[in-house]
Amino acid sequence: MQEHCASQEHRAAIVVTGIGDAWVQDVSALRLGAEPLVARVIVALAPLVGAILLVPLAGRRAPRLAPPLGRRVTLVRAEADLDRAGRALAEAAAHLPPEATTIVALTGDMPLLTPACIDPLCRALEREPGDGVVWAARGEAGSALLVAMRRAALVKAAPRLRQGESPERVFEAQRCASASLGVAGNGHPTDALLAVRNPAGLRRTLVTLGLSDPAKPAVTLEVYGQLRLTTGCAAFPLHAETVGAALAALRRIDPEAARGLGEDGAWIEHFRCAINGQQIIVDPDHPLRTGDRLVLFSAAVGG
Amino acid sequence: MMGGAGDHGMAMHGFHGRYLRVDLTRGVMEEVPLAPEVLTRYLGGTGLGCWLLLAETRGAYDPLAPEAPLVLASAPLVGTGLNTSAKAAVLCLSPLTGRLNDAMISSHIALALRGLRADALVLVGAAPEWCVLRVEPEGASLHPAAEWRGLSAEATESALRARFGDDHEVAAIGPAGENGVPFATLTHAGRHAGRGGTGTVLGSKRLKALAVRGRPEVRPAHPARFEAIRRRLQARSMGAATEKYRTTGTIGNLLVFNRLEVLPTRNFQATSHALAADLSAETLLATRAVHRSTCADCKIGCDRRVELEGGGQVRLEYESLFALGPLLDLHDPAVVLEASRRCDALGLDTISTGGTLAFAMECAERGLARFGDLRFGNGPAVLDAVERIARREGEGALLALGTRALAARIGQGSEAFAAHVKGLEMPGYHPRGLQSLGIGLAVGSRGADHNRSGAYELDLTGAVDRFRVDTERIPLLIERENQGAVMDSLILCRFIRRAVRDLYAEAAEMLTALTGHPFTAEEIARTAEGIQRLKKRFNQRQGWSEAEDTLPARFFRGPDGAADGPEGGGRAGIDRERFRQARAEYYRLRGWDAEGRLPPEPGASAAMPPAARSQPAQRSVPLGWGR
Repeated sequence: MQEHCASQEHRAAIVVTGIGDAWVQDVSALRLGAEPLVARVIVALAPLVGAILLVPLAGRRAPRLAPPLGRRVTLVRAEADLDRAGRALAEAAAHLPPEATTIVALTGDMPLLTPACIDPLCRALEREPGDGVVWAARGEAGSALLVAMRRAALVKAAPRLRQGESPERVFEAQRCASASLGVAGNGHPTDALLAVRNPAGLRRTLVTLGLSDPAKPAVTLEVYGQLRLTTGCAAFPLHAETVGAALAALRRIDPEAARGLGEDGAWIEHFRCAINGQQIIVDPDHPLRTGDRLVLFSAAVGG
Repeated sequence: MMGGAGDHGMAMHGFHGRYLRVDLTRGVMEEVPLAPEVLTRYLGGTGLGCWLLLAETRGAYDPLAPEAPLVLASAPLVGTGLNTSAKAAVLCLSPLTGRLNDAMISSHIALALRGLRADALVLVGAAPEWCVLRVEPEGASLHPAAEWRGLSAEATESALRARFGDDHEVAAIGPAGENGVPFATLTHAGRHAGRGGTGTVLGSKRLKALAVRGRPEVRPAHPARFEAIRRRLQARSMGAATEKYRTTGTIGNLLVFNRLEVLPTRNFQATSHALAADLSAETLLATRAVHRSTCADCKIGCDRRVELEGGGQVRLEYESLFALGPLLDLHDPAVVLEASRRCDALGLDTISTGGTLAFAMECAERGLARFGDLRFGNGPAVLDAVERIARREGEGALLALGTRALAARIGQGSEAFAAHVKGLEMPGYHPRGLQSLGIGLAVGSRGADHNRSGAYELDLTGAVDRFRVDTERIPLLIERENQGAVMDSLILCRFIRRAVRDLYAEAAEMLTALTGHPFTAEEIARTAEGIQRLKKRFNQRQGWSEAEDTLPARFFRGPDGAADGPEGGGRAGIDRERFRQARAEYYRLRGWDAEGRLPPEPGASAAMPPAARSQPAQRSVPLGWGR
C-alpha cells in the first residue's frame, strides 16, 4: 500500500458510477474477479484522499464493495433522480467534509487509473491559487484521444473479462498498448477527471462547464462519429437553454475534440442537430427544454 | 497504333477528341471522332457516357443483346491529380431495371483508361468465347479466359496482373456476372461499379475482365492557374467538410440514421433497429482492426477495410452494412461482414442482394412464399442464399431475379412492399423520414439511387420538413440533382461536394484552366440540364412511363390518410396527393409535359437529340488474340 501523502485529509473524491449513456450496461459494475470495476478506482484513490463519496446515478444500483474498501466510501443517495453526472456532482458537493479543499471528481469506469495519476494532479492543483480547476479532458494534448482509447480498451477487454481472464493481465495488456502508441501524455491514463480547490469551486466549475445549473434546462447532448470517438462519450448531460449554448458547453468540456464545431455559430456549416432525433435544427437560438436530447451529427451525413 | 490527342484537330487540352469502340463480334477496335461541341457540352463521365449510349444505339434494345453498348467514359479532370478525380463512369442499359444505368468505377483503372488517350471506351458485340479484353495505347487483344472463370473479381485481378504485368489495371466480374445475375458488379481493387448490373452486361459479352494499360498525360492549358485551383481544393477538402469520410468513412451513417429513425429495418417495416449499435462505426472501430484505404488521387480515404476473424479483410461501407444488417434483422457483425465479403467475392451488388433477401423474408413471414430457411434474423440462411444467388442454384435462381421481378412472380399483393424504384432496390434511407429523398428516388433516371438524387441532403439541412413533401422544395431538389450530374461528368467524387462552394463557377474555372476553352458558370449550369435531358431521352426511348416515377405503396399513407403503423415503420407515410403535386412540379420545372415527357426539340427525333450522331470511324484495327 502506498503511503498517505501529507495533505490526504484535505482531499476528497467524488466518484460517479453508472454513467450508462455510452454503454448498454453500466460498465462500472463490470466485475473484475470478485470486485466491480469501480473498486479499482477506489483502490487508486484510497491512499490519496481522506474521503470518498460514491454517487450512483438514477436507475443504477450502488456497486457492492468488499468490506475493507467499502468502509472507505460514503454512499450518497439523493432524493431526486440523479440522471446526469453534473447533477450527481452537485448533489455530492453538499456532503463533502468541511476540511476538504481539494476535490477530485471522476467516473467509476476507469480501470487504468492509478495513484500515480491522481497524486501529481492534486499536487499541481494545491500549488495554484483560486479554484484551480483541472479538467483532464482539456488538459494535455492527446487527452481526448486517451479518453477514446480507454473506452475502446474497455470494449475490447469486456469479452475477455467475461471469459474469466485475469483482469490484471487484460488491463496490463491494454496499458502497454496505450503506451506503445505514445499518446499517454504524462504516462497516466486520465479520464474525465475533475479536480477543484473547494466545494464552492466545484459548483462554479459545474456551472461554467454547463454540467450543472439548476436555473437552466437539463438536457443531453448526444454525439456521433468523430465526436464520439474523440471524446469517448456517447452523450453529455448538460444544462443549457439553447442549442447554441449546449454546443458551447461541449466546446468548454472538450475543446480539442469539439474543435470542428468552430466558434459561435460556425458549427452550422459542418454539423446538424436534431432535437430528440426529430426535425433538423440549424438555429443556434432554438430553445431547449428539460429532458431534451440533442442529437449532433456531421452535416456530411449520407453516402 | 491508334492515334492520340491532336490527331483529330482538337485545340483543347484535357480532351482527346475521340473514343474507342471495341466490337467484340467483328473483332475490331475503331477510333471514332468526337466533335468539340459534344465534349464542351457534355464534358465527360456520365454526361458524355449518356450521349454515347444514345449515339451508339438507334432505339429500344435488349440490355443483354450483343449490340448493347457498355460505355466507360473518362472525363477532363481525370489524371490531373485533382483530389478525388480518379474515376470513370460506366454506363449501360440496366438488365435489372431496363433503364439507364450510370455507375462509377474508381481509382487506378480510371487513370489507365484515361491513359488510352481517348475520351471513352465503348464495348459492343460479344466475344466468341469467354475472354479477357486487354487494351493498351497500341491496340487491343482478346485472351481466352477459361482458366479464370469462376474466380472472384479480386482473384482475377491478381491473376491478370501477374500475367500481363503490374502496369495493367483490371476491372473484372465474379461468378454472379458470369451467371447473368442482373445485379452483378464490375470490380476494381475491391471497389465496385455496383448497381444496376454493369457486371452482368460485361458478362453478356463473354468478357471476364478488362485489363487496361495506360498512363494519363494531362497537360493543363494554364498550368499555374490549374495548380492553384488544385491546391485550393486540396486545402478545403482536408477540413471539416470531409471529416466524417476521413474519420469513420460512410459506415458512420448507421448509428446516426438509426437515431434519426431513417435506418431501413426488416424490409423497411421499421425505421430503426434496437441493436444497430453492434454494427456501428463507433463499435467496429473500437473492437476490430479497421484499415483506412484510398482511391488513387484521393486524400480523403473514406474506404474502410475490416479484418475478419477467420483472416482476410472486407471492404465495408454504410450501404452494405444496412442492406445485409438491419434490413435483414441481422446485427451480429461476424455474419454481416461475412455476407458482405461473399457478395464482393461473388460480384453481387450488396444493396440489391440485401433488398431482394429482405423482400423474400417478408414474403416468407407473410406465408406468401418459401425460400428454404430464409427468415428475418437467420444469418446462416442469408450466407447460404448469397452463394445460391450468385450461382443461380435452387431458390437462388428466383432470388437472382431481383425484387421487382420476384414480386411479379409471387404476386398476392407483394408488390406493395417490394422496395424498389424502376426495379432498382432502395438504398439505406427510409423515405418516410426523408420525404424529399422519396421524391428524388421516384423521379430518378436510374431508379432508387441515393447518389444520383442526393435529395436526402435537403431533408437533413433543416431547410425543409423532412416528414412531408411539398412543391416549394422541388427547385432545391432539382439543383441537387443537377449538381450531381456535373460532378459525375467532371469527374469529382461526391464526397468532396461540401468542399466546393460554388460548383458551377468553380467547375468553369477548373475546366478553363485545364482546357483553355472559356467555360462559364452559366454554361456548366446548362450542361447539367442537358445531361438530365439525355438521361430522360434514353429512358423515354426504352419505354419509360409516368407510372414508374413513384415509390412502393409501403411508403405512402394508407387510403384513409392515417399514419401507418407496422406497415411502414410507425412514421406517417408520404401523402399521395402531395407526392403527386411535387412530382408534377418537378416535371414542370424540368420543362417536361404534364406526363413527364420531353417536349420535341428542333432537329431532334423522339429517340435522338440533335447532336447525338456518332461520326464514322476513322481507323479500324483488328483485335489480336493472345494467350
